[in-house]
Order: sequence, then C-alpha cells, then structure tokens
Amino acid sequence: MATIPTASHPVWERLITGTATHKFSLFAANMAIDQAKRQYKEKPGDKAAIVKSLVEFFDKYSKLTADELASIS
Amino acid sequence: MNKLVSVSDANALIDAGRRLHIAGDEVALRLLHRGSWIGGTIPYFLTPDGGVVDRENVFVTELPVEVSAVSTELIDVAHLTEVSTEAPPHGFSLVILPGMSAIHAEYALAVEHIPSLFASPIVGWVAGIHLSDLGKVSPKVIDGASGELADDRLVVMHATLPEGVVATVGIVNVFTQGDGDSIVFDQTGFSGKACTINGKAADFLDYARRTDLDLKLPLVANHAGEMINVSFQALDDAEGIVKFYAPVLKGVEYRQAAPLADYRTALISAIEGMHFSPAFSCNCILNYLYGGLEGQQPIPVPGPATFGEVGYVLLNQTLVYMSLVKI
Repeated sequence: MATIPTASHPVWERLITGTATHKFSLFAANMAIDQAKRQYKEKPGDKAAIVKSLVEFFDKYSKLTADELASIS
Repeated sequence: MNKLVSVSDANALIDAGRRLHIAGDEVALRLLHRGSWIGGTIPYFLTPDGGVVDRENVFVTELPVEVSAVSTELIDVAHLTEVSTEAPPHGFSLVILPGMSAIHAEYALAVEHIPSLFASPIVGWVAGIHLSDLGKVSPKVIDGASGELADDRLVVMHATLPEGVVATVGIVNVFTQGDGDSIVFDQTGFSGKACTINGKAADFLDYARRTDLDLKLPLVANHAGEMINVSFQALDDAEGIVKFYAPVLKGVEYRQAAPLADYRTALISAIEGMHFSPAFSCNCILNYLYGGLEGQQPIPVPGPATFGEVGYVLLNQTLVYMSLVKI
C-alpha cells in the first residue's frame, strides 16, 4: 500500500489549486479537498495550515485513500 | 435493525440497553423510555415495502455491534463546534437538527468554519413534521438519555469504534449538473438574489421567473467531484429573492440539474446500484414527494424521509448513508 506524502509534496498544492483533480471513492476526501480549495482561494496566506489539515485527514484515512492519492502524486 | 417498529417494541429495545437512533412522530417519541438513544420528529418513512406516512410506529436503527461506547448531548447554537470537537478520536457522530430552526440554519452556514470538520465522520438529518402540520407545531429532536425534547438545539450521539474499523459517509444523488447556465451567487445564504449568470450580473428571482425554472430540479455544484444539491423552496416576490433549503455558497458555480427521464426510476436504480446495506441511512422528503415513493414499490435502502440530510454539511434531495469498513 502507498503512503501519504508529506506536507511538502507538490501534490497538496496541486489539489488545493485545482491543477490536480481526482474523485476519490471516499466522499469525505472530496469534500475536504473542496473545503481546502475554497479556504486557499480566500486566504492564500494560510496555505501551510490548509495543507497541514488536509494531510492530517489523509493520514487518518490512509488505508482508504493512499493508493488513489499515489495515482495523482 | 433498520425498520419501523411499534412503540412497545422500541421500548423493549431501549430497556435492553440497545444503542438506537429513532425517528417518529412527536407523540410516539414522547412515549419512549429513557435510554441510550437519540431521536427526531418525522412521520415519513421509506420501508422495504414502500414509502409510508406513519404517526404511530417509530423507525429504529440500531447502532452496529462494533460501537464500543456512546454519549449523547443537546447542543445549542453557541456550542455548534462541539459536534466536531467533542467527537471521539475514533468513531462517528450522528446528528439530528430540528428543521426550520435557527440552529438548522446556523449549522448549515457555520459548518464551513468548524475546525477539522472532516476529521471524524458526521452523518444525520433534519427533523420535520407532517406537511399538514406546517405552522402548527415545530420539528423537534430528543436526547433519549434525559428524555428532553428541543426545537432550538441539535442532538448528537458520539459513538466510539475499535481500532481497525472506520465509519465512512456516502451519498446517493441522482442529479448531475445540466448543461445550462452557469450561476454564481454574490453571497452565501439560504436565499439567492444578486448573482452572475454566465459571467453577467443578474437578479436570480428575475432569472427564475423569466426562464420558468423547474423548481423540482435543484441547483447543483461540483465539489471536487461530488455533486451537491441545493433545493428550491420558493420564489419570494415580496422579498425579491429565491429561497433554498440549504445555503448556496458565495463564489461557487451552480448549474441547474439535468432533467430526469423518470424521477422514481432514476432514484431506485441509483440506490439499487450501490449494492449495499448501510449501518444508517436517510433520504430526502423531496425525493419522497417528487419521486412519488409513497406506497409505490420496494425501497432498497430504508430510513426516514427527512427535511434535509447531513453528510458533514447540509444536503438536499440526497440519500445519505454511513457504513462501517474494516481496515
């Protein structure tokens, strides 16, 4: 099984800017990404905190999301 | 267990210490014993035999045996974030909001700003009333542990799960964005007025009147791949606004849903296609009404037909479910 990339991995920026798109099988993953995208659009300066929150989510659900995340990393 | 039962049968389950979610008419809920359960008012149900209106029996969902502990609480507007912050580190939270209340609206609007909203699964629904009782009684929720009913607070049951089991929330939505106009609202809220349509400033009520929008087809936004509906409540000429059953979000692009050839068939087929038996589920009263589900045909996934659904956020015209997954 793949592992969740660290917060410095570019996949997170691609996800919150919308340059990377993927519909995860986990509903909450898509909703968390969507919330992060809107938060980043509103406050780009909060990027680190937004990514940190997203990484924590994916870490918690790594067994359900890691392989899909790896496919776009 | 996920079915309609008599009040006496529900009380037997409560007295046996079962952890339950119960939906029913207020009169029936008031007859239930205290115990480890939460409930909300609604007399509309989807059962394996079809949709029914039942004011005597109650719909009981027993929490999965994997649940190791529960706590229940009524939460007021000032403490909304506790839905998320008080959730167990490993488990899920089942919430019921009293429909047409301030906390119903506040939850829908505030949920965007709840810290770590997606850290722990949140699933639930909006309590309602028989449509003939509109304006006469209020939807209510009840904390079974205390027996207290409320129409101004939400009720939550936080459930703990063992390591190796996670709860996942999912939706069944028959709607997708149509290929019509792009609508972006200027403000977040339960009503729409100033907006841009295909990039040009517009008044949404004027647009709705001029284009004769079919109000049974919700507005749909693409949230990172998830199609999320906002259902129409009414065109309000007096206030010059269009009212919705969930908030539209400022800056998010909406399009009206693509028409369905047959609402009921689309709904039943979509649910059957999931091939699942969730631990909890509820479906929207608008699907019940617009889909003509009352007394019609077997419904693959039973549950209350509600005044709104909660899958972390407030949802409309959607079936929401929660399943447990071993990891």
